[in-house]
Amino acid sequence: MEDTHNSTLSDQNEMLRDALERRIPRFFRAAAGSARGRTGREDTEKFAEDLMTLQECSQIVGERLEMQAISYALFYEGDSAFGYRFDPNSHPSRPELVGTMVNRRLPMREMLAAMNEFLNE
Amino acid sequence: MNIESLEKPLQMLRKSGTVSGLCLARGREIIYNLFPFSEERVADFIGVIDDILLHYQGQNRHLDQMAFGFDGGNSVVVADAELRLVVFHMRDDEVDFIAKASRAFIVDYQTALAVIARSEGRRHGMAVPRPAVTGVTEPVQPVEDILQPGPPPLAPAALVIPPVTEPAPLEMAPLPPVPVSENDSGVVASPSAPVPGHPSLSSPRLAPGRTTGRVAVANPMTRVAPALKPLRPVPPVAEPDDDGLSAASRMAKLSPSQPESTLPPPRVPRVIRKF
Repeated sequence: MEDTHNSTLSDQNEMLRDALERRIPRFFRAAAGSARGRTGREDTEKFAEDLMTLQECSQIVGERLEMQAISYALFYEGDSAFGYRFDPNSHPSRPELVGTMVNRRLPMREMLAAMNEFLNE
Repeated sequence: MNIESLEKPLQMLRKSGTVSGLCLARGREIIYNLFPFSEERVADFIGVIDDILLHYQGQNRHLDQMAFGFDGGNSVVVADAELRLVVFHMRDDEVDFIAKASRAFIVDYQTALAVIARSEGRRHGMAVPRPAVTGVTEPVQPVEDILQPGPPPLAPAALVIPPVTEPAPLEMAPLPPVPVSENDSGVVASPSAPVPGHPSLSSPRLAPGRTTGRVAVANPMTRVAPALKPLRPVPPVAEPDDDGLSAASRMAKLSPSQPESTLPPPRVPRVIRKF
């Protein structure tokens, strides 16, 4: 689930606090039913919960539009933004994705670009 | 709100960028549809969008913008309360531009609806609730403040009615008679004789004078017609010559030594043959 190998709990909280203060995106990875993040267990669980809902929503929308291959999905909720993007280089049978959460209305284009950069890291 | 004011901005948004379709809806009701799909499919799609937003609202989460990307295109959903504008476009880097334009349209649409509702409420003499507009939140006055009781009624003992006093009679001094003259038309000419009546703050004070007999001309500002200037004599018209031209026309005639035209000869248009 959560990536706790290289950092302690205090460091994770520090990263979350820093991201919230600077209003920078927090990035996550998800694959095979698990999500990994660096900003703490609670933050990663929140991401995983939102990811499951939004994935289902985008799947339903894609079915109605007859477009099954989902690329990304984003939403704004008040002063926060959430989104995910599938890794195009991942195997179709085991898709991987990256997600982001930020506590400001970051332009969606910048969110997509930031997730692309995180994918290429 | 007429259809033209709704249709024009949506058509402009439809033609902008790589937008290939859009739909304006209130809940599940489709207000304006520019999707290249069948009506049933659009209704199904709008129903799904409504279900998604209702699902989040059930968790007390209010999503105002969503974007989905697929292999064949992208869709943006801009929501404001029950109003949703769904735009389908091809390039994913246009999402912010399209969302901003959609948001501006929704705000304009809500404002127009509010103006119409307010004018209709004023026409019928009834209060109109203020509709919600995106980004504009105004504190609503609670009903208790509106329905506050007025000032306490005065007790009968507090009412003091001053005694009515008789107005002092007007003192009228005898005025000397003014000589009037009667002309042939039967109207009495009185240069400074206003109409007698009740004195008021707006009416001019009566001039010390008195008219007797019939007074019909009450306007002290009489316009005097200016004296007409004597007309200038009309200059005599020159007699035409034998060829029927006057002297002025004859002066404009070309002299025999002057060439007829100093302009270059007109160009002959080239004939373009189409094969």
